[in-house]
Amino acid sequence: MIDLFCFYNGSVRRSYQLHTQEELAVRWARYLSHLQGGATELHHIFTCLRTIDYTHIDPLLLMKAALILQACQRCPLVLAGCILHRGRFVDNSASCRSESPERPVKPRLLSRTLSDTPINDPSSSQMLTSSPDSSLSDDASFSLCPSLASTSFRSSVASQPGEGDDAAESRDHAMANEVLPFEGSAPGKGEDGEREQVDDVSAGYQNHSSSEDENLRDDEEKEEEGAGQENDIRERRSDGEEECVRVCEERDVVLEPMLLYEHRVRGLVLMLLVEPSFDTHPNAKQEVYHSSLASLNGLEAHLRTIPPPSEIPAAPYTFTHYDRIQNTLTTNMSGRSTGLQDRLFVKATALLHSHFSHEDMLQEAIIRSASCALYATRTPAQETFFVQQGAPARNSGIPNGQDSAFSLPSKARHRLLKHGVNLL
Amino acid sequence: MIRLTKKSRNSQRYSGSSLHSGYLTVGMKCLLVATESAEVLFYWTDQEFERNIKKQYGTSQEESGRPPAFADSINTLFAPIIISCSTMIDRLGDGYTSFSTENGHIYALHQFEECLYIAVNGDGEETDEDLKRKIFVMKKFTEILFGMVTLSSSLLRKELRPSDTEQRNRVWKKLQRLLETYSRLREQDQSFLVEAVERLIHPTLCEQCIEFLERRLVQQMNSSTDRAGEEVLHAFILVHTKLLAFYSSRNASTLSSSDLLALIIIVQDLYPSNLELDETPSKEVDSTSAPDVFYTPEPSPSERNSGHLSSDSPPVFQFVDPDIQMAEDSLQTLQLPVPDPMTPTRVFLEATFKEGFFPMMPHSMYCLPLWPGITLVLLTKIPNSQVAMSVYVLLEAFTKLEKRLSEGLEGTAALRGQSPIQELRTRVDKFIRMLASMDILTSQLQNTWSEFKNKAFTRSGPGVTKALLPSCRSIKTQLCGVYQQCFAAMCMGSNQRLTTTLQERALNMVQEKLMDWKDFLLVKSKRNITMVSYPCLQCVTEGSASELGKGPIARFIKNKLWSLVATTRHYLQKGYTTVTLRDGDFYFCYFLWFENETGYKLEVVDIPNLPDDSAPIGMLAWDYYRKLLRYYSKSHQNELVKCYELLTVHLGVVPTEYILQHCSQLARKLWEPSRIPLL
Repeated sequence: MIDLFCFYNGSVRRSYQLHTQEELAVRWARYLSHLQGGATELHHIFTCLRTIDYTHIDPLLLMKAALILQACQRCPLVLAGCILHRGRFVDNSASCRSESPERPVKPRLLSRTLSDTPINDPSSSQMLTSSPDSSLSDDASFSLCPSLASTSFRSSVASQPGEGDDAAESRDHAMANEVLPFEGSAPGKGEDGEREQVDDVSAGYQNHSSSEDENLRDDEEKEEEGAGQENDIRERRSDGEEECVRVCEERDVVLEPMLLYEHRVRGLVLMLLVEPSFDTHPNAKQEVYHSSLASLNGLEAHLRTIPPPSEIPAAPYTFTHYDRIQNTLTTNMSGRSTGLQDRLFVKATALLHSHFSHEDMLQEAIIRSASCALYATRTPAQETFFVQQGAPARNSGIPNGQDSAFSLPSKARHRLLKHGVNLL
Repeated sequence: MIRLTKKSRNSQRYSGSSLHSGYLTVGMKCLLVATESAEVLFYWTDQEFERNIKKQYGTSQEESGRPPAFADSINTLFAPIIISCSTMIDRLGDGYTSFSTENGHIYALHQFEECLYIAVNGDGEETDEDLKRKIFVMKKFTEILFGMVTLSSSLLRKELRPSDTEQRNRVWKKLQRLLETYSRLREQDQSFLVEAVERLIHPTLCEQCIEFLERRLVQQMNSSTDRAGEEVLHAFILVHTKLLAFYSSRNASTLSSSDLLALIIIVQDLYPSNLELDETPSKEVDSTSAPDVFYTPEPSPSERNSGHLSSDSPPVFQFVDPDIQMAEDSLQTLQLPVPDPMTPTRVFLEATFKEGFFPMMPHSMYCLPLWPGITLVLLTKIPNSQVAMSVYVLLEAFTKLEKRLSEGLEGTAALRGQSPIQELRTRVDKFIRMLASMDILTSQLQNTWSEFKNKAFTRSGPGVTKALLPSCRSIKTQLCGVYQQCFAAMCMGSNQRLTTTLQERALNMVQEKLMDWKDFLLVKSKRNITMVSYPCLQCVTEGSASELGKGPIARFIKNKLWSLVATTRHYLQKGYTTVTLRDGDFYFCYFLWFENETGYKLEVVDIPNLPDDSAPIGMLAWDYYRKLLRYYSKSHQNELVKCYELLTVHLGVVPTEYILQHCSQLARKLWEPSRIPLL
């Protein structure tokens, strides 16, 4: 929750210096309800995005998603992108381009932004304040970055009635934010050096801030008119269907403002991390918007036809595959299952995931109790957890090569191939 | 490696504010016992910790111009933690179990009765699990040394922190050394890693020794007039930390593994054998023959010996030591001032008699050094020890009464299910008369008891109600006081001991007997190096670096083994009885299973999933395995259930099926008659 807070607001301490407790309490409440709402237990263990079920998806569709992102990245101001469907991860891309050698863009996604929650309201697109190099499970620390987006995305996420009030409130926030300095804290560095760097950033940021602020106000006014339309997006100018909100990135010491571009088509969300100048660029936004609009609509139409996970028949095994690079999770465990077997699977997975994260050399493990035998394996890039359905066959627990627990590795290798998980 | 990762992670995550941490400069290891009111009853620190504290507080000079006393600095440092923890316990009924500071220091806390134990590590060498274990071991030491006095906080306070400085130094030094000895053994000795008593396996010698202890030594001593009313209950011979022979007399209760391990620590404290220094490269040994060692199970208890190690304990950890070198030249001991070996140590041990279970019964422990590294230990029953049993029975009765009173069960119902309160009254009266006849001072107990009787049994008093609670508590304190007066080490009369002549005779007898065997063993150990030969590296080898050799690889493997045990215990705590891990170049296996007396493998059941803050799994401080067996036995009422564990390390290149095959061969071997005489 703290990471999520920091992603949008910067450091907690600074936020409390800049905002009233009441203001921040509202944000905390939102993050908390978000985290409690959309996540399964597995989600909490890995704090990552869930992928769509690749077994039921045409590989061409994935290609299509990749092409959309590629097209967006033709704009040099776009740093990285990601497509989600109903809160599940479809595809992502990251640019290798980096302005300074000290700041390579990591291909790592924020594990859960507020935008990955499926939203009933089919229309919204926005720009959010965020830090691209963060995830809830990540080690990075964050620092302050005033959010101009807080109210607008709350109104869309929470679908609250009384949009007018919210808009007014957000205007207050925005105005307050306008004059805020931007600061990062640097452990182990001298105060002076720190301040210098910070000043550079904040100068740029503040200049940018005022125009951004106006945009946002425009957006909010338009939002009310546009609500309810099929592919509607709050826009700054009549032809745009996107909204820019401030994003900042912190890498060790330097915090960099960034913007998060969002375009939603029903359950489908395209998110792009973009340079701050994206917003003021004469036609970058238009280009990105137009290059992706048609394909997004097409992709959404296809993805909509995929059966929801609840309709997919249960397999005789349960698995979870965690991609450490993309910070995504693929599993055939349906939703919030509360069956005994599922709970045992989750418990064993949690234990081993934590063991993996402490022990770099650990590659493979089998753990077995009387009612559950779990096989886990990992590479630097991924972790996979696998159980057979049903309690293990009766046995004494004495070492025995015939023991079914020891056949789990080969079963997992065989079974998971069709899920796109290659353990060979 | 685990901890390094953890540490860097923490420091990254909290890097933003770590500059504000107030504990940045505080050192490495520390253990502290304090009251809820932040009075430090005992502390132990390593040199690094001490140095850091002095550095931190040394600059703040008092008015006198001198730096503050070290104890004061400790007080200052821990007061906020103690107070916040007691406040939490006070307000929420729950405290911290552990926390880590932003600079990577780990604090583990545990409250026993009114004493708060805090263990600190700042060098990354210990996990919070290790610290918790250390706390429980410290608690065990207080029980072994102070007995039932630990049941009264006010008395324990005085016992742990005597007002007399010299006495305090003595008590603290003793406990500090025990802690250091424990830490050293845990680090160097595999029997303290897994917390199991390790036996030297040599069937002939073992049998002869037991027979000797039984027929010659104990019998002679117990029929001597020089024994000053004491009676030898247990006698055993230790070679370093390993048990060569153990004999219990017919009248004795079984000695629990937990107590035996604690006693070995006491012996090691008196006569340390530093295994790291004890480096005798076995020159004659062919360098290609790897040390091969394996577990064998504890043999079934025999009917022949009335006394034996408790049968419900898990397998006594046996160890085939290929080259035990008992030659004097190979045994180096640390040069410490050796105390008078004739002075017994007062220890309090668990006992089970036909009357029931009695924890912390007073014994005298005589440690007679035969040669450096080889010790004869005698445990005697001391006169008047029946007083301890009476005290315990009465303490229990009053505790039950207290519980019922505080639950609001008043009147005679307060004692339903046990002897009525009138009987308790008779028993206390009788007990006081008995004490008087033994010239034990009882005036305070008598006063408190009269007060109790006035409240409970007279018309003017409140009767058997909640109002009696304070009186119950003071009677318990008085009972502990009587116990302390009779048995506490500092009240031990210097005359109460086996006479020097008798001890010397015993020492000479065993020396004489073992002198022949010593040579025999030396030859035998050199000729018979390899008992079993397997191509793979096997766990558990002699855990000390001496067996693995020295150097970074040996250290690496040793660290791997040590962390393997911690890891498997963690999974066991969560209910997993089979664990295999592929870790770097190694493949680790862990198996736990149950057998009945005939060696039939019993079906695995779901074992309890313990919370994170439960006592550490082991046998020294808290006998997990005894509880596990009791739990398992519930579903196997009619059988004697035994529990076995197997840990192996193989090279990762060996195919898994061979590893498993090998493990199952090993497990089968465990059941083969061990030819080792029964204990």
